Amino acid sequence: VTDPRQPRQPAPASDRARALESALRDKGLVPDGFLERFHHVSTEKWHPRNGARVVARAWVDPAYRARLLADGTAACAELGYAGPQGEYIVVLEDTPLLHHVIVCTQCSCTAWPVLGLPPDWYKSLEYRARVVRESRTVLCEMGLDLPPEVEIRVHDTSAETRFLVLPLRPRGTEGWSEERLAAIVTREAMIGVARVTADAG
Amino acid sequence: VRFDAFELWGDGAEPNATVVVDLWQSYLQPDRGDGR
Repeated sequence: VTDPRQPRQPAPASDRARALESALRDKGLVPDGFLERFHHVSTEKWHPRNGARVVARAWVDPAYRARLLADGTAACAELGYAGPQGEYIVVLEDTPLLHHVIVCTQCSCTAWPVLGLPPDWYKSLEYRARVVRESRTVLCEMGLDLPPEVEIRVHDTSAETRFLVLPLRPRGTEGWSEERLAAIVTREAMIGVARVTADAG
Repeated sequence: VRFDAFELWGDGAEPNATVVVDLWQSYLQPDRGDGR
């Protein structure tokens, strides 16, 4: 057992991935085309623009918003977004006095069908350890300075539920089309580490 | 289960923050009322 106080530097992730792939292939455990298909789906199909469309629809369609908050999995599937790591989607509604932020303290879980695979910063030990301990400071360092009266509610992805933050619709976007709104919603905003701003549109 | 940050971190906690963790009964023990 390695002493955690004296961590040994592991080989680079790419080398370890190649070694693992090679070992699995030698044992015949990787079906033909499996890795290629996974790569294709994970880069083309599971994308934060899906979540952005969900958020934009919720902003313009109150009935959809209600369905989304009642059953995130079903409402995302209405728009065609379903699949692995999206079996139990819960949508967290921000209000002017309540701000949600998502973390997976144990690993790196995200709702793949709507958020895509997790970004590197989300997987970092630093984010995972610190956002539960000092969320306000971490968000501030990431450029999101919330007023003290806003409660920060950190959701740890500790079981099967996958979360999606429904951020506040920014001022100055009245009358915008759903498509134009979707274009300003970022993955960071749907994880809860950024605001949506009208500037991007 | 929702915890106030002060419940988790004591005096070092930041104000107006909560942490929500999916916990199930098999992980939990009843509060015996003596803080244990």
